Amino acid sequence: MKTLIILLMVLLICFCSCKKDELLPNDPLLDLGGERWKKTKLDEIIYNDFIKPYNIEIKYKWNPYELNLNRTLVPPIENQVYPVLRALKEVWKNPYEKVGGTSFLKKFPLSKFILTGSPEYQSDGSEIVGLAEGGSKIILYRVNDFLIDNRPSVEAMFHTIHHEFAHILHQTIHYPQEWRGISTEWYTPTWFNSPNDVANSQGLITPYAKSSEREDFVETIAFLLIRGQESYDWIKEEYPEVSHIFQLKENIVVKYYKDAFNIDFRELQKEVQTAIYKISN
Amino acid sequence: MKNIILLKIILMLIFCSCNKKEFSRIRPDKKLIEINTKYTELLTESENGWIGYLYPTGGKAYTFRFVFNKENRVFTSGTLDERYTANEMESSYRIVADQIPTLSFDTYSYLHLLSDPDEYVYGGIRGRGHISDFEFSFIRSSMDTIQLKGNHNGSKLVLIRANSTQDKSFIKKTYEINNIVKQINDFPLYHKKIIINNKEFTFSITPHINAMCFYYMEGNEFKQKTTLFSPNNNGIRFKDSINLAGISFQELSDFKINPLQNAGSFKINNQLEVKIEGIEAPLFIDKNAGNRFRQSSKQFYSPTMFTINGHHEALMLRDLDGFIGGYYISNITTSGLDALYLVYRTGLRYVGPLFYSHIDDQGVLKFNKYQEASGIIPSPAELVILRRFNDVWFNSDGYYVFQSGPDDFDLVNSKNAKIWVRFN
Repeated sequence: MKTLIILLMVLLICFCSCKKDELLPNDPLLDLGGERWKKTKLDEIIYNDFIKPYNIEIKYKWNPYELNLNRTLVPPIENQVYPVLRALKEVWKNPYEKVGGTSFLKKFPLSKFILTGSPEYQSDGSEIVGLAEGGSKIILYRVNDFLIDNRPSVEAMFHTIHHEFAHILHQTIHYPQEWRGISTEWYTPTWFNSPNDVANSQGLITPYAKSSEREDFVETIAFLLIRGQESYDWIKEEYPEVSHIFQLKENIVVKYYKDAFNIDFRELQKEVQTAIYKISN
Repeated sequence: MKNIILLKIILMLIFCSCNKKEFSRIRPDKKLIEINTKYTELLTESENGWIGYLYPTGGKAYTFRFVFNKENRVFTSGTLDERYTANEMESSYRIVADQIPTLSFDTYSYLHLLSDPDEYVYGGIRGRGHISDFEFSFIRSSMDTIQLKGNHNGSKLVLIRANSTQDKSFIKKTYEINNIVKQINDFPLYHKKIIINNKEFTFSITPHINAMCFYYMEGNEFKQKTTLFSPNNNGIRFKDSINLAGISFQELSDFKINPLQNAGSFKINNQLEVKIEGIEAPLFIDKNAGNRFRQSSKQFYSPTMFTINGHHEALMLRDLDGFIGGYYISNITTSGLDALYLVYRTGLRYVGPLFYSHIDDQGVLKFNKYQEASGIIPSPAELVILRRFNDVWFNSDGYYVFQSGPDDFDLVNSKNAKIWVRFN
């Protein structure tokens, strides 16, 4: 009986086993390893300055799946991409590397920037100026309007970038406990109803800082870096009743950079300010 | 017994086991690469490129010329604006293996102006632009025609292989032809008659929305055929072919327009010459158009208001400082009053009459004045201009109404075909 079963099993295996002469297909897979196109000078700059050293992808060609499919958006004008790359190097990458060391951005990297030509409008008509997803991808809008020699334009774009990068930093090493409770009473999902002066009078540096504790933290960092110490001090003086709150927040930020990353925040501020001045003049 | 069951199972397994030839078909990636190569070759091998007729879902129609090369670069020119007729804009494209093979214009060119959600770039609706597309799925293709459909908004794009005469000067010539076609509205008389295959038609052309309408009778019934068109270096090309008096055609060419003579001509299918004749009275009346006009929820706009004897700014309403145009709003009150507001001072002020509208059994729309000047009280000088307008608007003869586009209407004085106004 046993022999019969074994025999039958062998027969079964023989009949049902795979056809041995079938080879694995050797046709190439389309777009394996990402979409390809004939590389231009711009692609080479991106490869040499961002992909090779940092593994940061800069996507300027249209890819709807990187963006909000429910909104109408357009890709950037190609001529506008290089000025953004140049500014990225000078106002974001170089200052961090100079103060934090050449390997700093390799330890806390962004994985990609998506460049979009237009703003993204919300259904209420308001617009999104920049967006970060998953602490690794930043979408930059209004690339077609970017003017490298215009300080407000540079400030607008790089406020977003420094804001989002600060998120990556605090997601790696959390901001200090002391930050908690400073402005909790003012955090609200309807932050957009507060104009600048209202937010400032409550001890928050921008209206968006009112949206949550972590947004408050990164908005404070972005403001101190982009608008600079003078503007920050001016707000402190303008609202003396909350100046101690602004001072406390500033101290926490400086201490956080020192303790967590061994970065002199004052130096970083100076580097970013010098870069903005140089690039926009 | 056990052995028999076992044997049966084995036999069943043997007979039902997989067909070994299942994977010998063409693999999807091989097919994708083939399709990609086929479309790339099709697009790039046309020396003079492709003429693109774009019909955005948001309306209107535009003509482009695209020259594709094998380095993923495309050179675009278009009829969007006279400034874009001379210079091609270089940008990039690629064939994307999406759910359907897709032609993606993946960096900004003139084509993207229509999709730009920033209304300050090229007008349109904030957040949506002109509801157009720049990524298109291949629907059908032959050696000289490619039909595509927008992935985001479903706009229609037809690419037709450019012939040897359609070189770099194509768009410039197209723009010039379009300007000739526009002159049809400079005829002193509104009604224009044509005869095709011994059958009479009247027609209207509204160039800034790229719409053409043919009016005729079928038995005792008024009929109308409306089509969007885009211009080319011969004349105009319809979105879809149209059939009139047994002749099917998609292009009108060789426009010759002589406004002062109320006359002109064009050719159908590049062969049949059709004479245009301006006439004093309509051959066909759309008795229901007045109701459709009033029942539309749209706020109708006319930048110049009345055209009289071929002059588009006949009433000199630009004498109102910063005049923007006239807006017709029906049923502005619950009692059924309609309003015609003249908007000026770049939109800060508006003034105009309130009136009851009445449509008689001949389809003539008449306005009965209720209030001479509603809105923001005008200065005495502005009131003089308003009265100049009201004198024409409240003409007791009333207006025939003709639908001149998808939701666009012309009002023509019922006794004097030299007086008309176009609302879009």
